[in-house]
Amino acid sequence: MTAMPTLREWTARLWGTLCRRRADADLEAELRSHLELADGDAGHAASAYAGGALTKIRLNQQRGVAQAMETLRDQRGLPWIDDFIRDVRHALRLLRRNPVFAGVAVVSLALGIGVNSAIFALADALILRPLPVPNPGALVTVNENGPGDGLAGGSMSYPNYADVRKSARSFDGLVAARGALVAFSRSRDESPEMRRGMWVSDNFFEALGVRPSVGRSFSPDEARVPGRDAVVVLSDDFWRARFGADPSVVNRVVLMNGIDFHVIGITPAGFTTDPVFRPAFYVPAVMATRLDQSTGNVLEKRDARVFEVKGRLRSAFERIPGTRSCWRCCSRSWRWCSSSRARTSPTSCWEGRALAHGKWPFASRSA
Amino acid sequence: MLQGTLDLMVLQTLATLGPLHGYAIAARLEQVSGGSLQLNMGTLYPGLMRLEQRGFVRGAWGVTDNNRKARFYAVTAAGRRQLASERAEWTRMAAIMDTLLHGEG
Repeated sequence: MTAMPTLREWTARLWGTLCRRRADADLEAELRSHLELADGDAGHAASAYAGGALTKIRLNQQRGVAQAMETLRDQRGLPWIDDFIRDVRHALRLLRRNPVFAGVAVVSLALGIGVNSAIFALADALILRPLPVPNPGALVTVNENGPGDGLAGGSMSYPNYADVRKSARSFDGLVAARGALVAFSRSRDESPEMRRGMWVSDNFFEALGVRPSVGRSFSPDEARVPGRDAVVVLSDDFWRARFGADPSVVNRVVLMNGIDFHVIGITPAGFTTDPVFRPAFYVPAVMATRLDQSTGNVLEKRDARVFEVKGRLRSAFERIPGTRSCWRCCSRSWRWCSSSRARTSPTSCWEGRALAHGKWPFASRSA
Repeated sequence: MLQGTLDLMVLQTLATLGPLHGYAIAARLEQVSGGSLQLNMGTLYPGLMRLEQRGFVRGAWGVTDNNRKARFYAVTAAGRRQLASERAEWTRMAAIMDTLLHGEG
């Protein structure tokens, strides 16, 4: 006979553990009936026993029932699951007995899990998900590395960005962007509200491959004269929230820091440069001087490293592992750096470095 | 007792005598063995439960001739198949053992 338990037996035992099981009472009833039947058979013999001997038999029978019940219970289910369930029940009982401890434990767990998932959501949005633009894989972040900047390097100053944009040949387009906080209102009668937007280079939308859903994006001419062309592209969310998705907003004038800005376009739905703060608008970086005097002229200060620069690697480089094209553009920037050393302060010799978007520093090499 | 022999004995008993309760099975085996095989409850009932879990017997509460409640076990179709194959195996094994122990050598 097979002593090995069959699959069917295990299934039955698992089943017996989880839901449909013979109750202890039923098992015990069977054992008792056994004893009664045995008693009945041995009726005459039993009566012949003296009182003490009879008690002894009864005692033995009790012990037999207890032992048999033990074995039956083990055979009925899966003892370790039974034990586990018993442990859980025990834990719940203890928790109920100490409600304060239970409350503190539950709250700390909830906080821990909540913070964890919040941080993951942030990391997911910022690091794991690519920007919502066509072919985001070819997009790299270009960082500036001065001495003492450490591994990651940092943002770029506008003059350095302009130089790199002129000389770097590995990119189909190099864009710069910087967050801006601006008092925004729809008209002079309305009180302004602070909104977060972006200062961007004139080629921002073309280079990223994003076409406005309504209107147009910036023209190269609008980047020529600092402070001249007050134009703004509104983000789709903001347009829906503040203007009820009214397409006639384009060509209308809105007020930003008290200056009249022409709305020229609306970004396509789903596009954003920052999935967390979701900028409300995009204005040409060359407007920074007029829009915000407090920071000084960031367009001319070479050590004002406040712009985030991204570039789209040339299609010819796309199939080559990222490091190689990075290396090329880096060494080019480095040459540019050394030649421009004289113009920078002694503590900041710039060194170019391109990082695959969101994947630093795996794919990066610095010159 | 040899591992698995209890299953075989129980199945054979039930197949021969029809549905029986646990005590009747024990009594029958005791009788057949001339009193040398005395099963205690801790061996018999877990064995029956195992057979039931494997689908070889089916148990149900019933009433004895003396109007006592008892759980009766009946062999199932799967049980009969199992009995046939195990009986053949037992016979084969016993023949081998017999030859080994008593054959000329």
